[in-house]
Amino acid sequence: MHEPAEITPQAVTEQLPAPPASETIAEGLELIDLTKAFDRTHRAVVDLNLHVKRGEFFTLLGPSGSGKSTTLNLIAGFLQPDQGDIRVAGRSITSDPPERRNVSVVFQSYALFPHMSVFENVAFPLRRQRIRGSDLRARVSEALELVGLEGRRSAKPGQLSGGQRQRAALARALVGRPEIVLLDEPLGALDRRLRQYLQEALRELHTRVGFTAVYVTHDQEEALVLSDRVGIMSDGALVQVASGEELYTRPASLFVANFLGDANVFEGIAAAATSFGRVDVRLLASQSVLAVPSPHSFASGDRALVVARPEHLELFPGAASFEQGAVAGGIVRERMFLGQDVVWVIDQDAGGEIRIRERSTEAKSFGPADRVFVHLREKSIAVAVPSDE
Amino acid sequence: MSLSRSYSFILTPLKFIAVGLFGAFVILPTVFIFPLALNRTDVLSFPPQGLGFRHFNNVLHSPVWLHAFGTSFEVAGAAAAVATVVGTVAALVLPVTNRWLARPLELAAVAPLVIPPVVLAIAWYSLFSRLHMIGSMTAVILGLSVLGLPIVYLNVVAGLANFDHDLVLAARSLGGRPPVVFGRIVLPLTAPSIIAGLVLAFVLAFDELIITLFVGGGVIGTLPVQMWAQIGFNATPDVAAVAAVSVLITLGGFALATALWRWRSARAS
Repeated sequence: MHEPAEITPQAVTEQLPAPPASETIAEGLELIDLTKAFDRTHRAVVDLNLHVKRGEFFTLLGPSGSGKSTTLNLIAGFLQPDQGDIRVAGRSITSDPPERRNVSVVFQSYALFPHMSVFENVAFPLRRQRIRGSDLRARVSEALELVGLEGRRSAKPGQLSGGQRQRAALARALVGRPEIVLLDEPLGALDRRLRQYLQEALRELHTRVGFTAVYVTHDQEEALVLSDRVGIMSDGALVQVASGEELYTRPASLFVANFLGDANVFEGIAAAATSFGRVDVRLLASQSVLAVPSPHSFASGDRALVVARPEHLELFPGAASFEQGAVAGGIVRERMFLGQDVVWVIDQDAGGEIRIRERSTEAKSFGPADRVFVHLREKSIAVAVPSDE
Repeated sequence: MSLSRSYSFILTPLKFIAVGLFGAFVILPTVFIFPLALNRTDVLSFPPQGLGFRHFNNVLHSPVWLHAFGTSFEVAGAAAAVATVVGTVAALVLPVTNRWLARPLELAAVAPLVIPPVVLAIAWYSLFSRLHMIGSMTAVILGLSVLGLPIVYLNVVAGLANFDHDLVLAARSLGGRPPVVFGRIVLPLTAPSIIAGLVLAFVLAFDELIITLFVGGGVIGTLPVQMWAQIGFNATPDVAAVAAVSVLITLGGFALATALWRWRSARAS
């Protein structure tokens, strides 16, 4: 499977050893063929290639055990890769210890130094850079203002709330102007409302300061809210790298479709070869033919899965009239009112279930046991992916 | 909480018995020393015939006792310092050492807790007599430092158990070289445990008699050695006054250690 991650190892070959923090040389973070195994049977990260642009907010999203935290630890220098290279601004940092990488980390546990005040915590990286006196005080104040903690500079971490601690940790990670900021599920320990608030604050902060961030999470909503691009990880590999919108509307595989939101899957056969990024798929259940976009190339007769999001489908009353392009027919099992939306679960005649979502202001009044059929709202919003078998 | 509530019908009487026994066997003899020391007569007698500080006064003006106090502070202080350095290094290093090397060394670090002091004393005696060091301060200090080693080691291990390893990683990623991370993060955060270990090791060495008798060869006259000699020769209430002072020093040490443990748990949050 081809994946659209930007891999540009050749872009860095013609550089001179330039001073760090120079703005003109090759940009951002590059991971090249990165591999890490913890024992002979389990490889945590496998041949990972990725280019995170300077100033980009990039998120590694995946289920637990997919290798995203290992990748982060490799970038930070807490782990050594078995193979591959890590470059920041074109310079290989693979053999540098963590303190020489200019890569800071924000932990889920905050990892604030409990015996130091907020001020001293934020001053720590500056003191390591031998910044002293009024320079130091100005930089710390600036960082604390940025996260809205100026008034709590002399508090100890133990006296702060969870959200304040994470903001202090953020200020500490940013104040030394690192090349890369790594964030390892930094909002994971907070409750939902605070998390949403901090997501927005983080987004705003990124827009203002423009740091290069690699963010790790298993929360898809968080990934969508925060990121310029998201890389979906599975079994130590990146399976798709794209903007959140692209991942949601154009998943390259069933795994991505299922991981990012709900997906309805209809089995079918390619009726003709792919042309101009579209393929005609004959659905097995309804025999109706749909022209759906796809990043993959199918030959006529290949098995293909049509993936449609719950909000991309529409319900109609009565038995299915497949001649008119219906996708499936079935019986309503459940109708769930979720406030903004209404969700129906339909038992398909051909077996399996379908989920359909409509705005509650426009929702139709189907209830359990009603006979219905299902249409695609617009043919262009489904996507065809290869069947795994 | 709920356990203690549901078993309270058993626990409540047990608690009284336990407190009673503890009081009778542990606290009472210690408290008993004070009326003896405050006695105004020249012989050890109970109940005291009038109270006063004359025996404390005698002790304060006796060059023998003052010298013994000085020796004790010197020996216990040095022994505690040695135990603290060795115990702290062991607690920091052994968890990240190859376990085939670490396991026996861990055992060695806590062994003095369960080995009878007489056995330790004989072992040290045979070693130091071969080195012609019997009767030297160095021998007594080394002998007593072994006694404090397990206390320091266990205290620091307990302190490191709730130490968040992410703090070290965070400090490294923020530009801290290993010596800086150790000096600015690890050491300050384990300091309460280390100091508590130091205080307890001091108290242990301060009260020790048997090893000091063997290894000191009767030349190193610490407070317990002097008291031991005095009781065999002529038991005056002066000895009780000295004992009362050393009890106070010991209790002060324990109070300090307890305060340090509180500080440690307050810091961990």
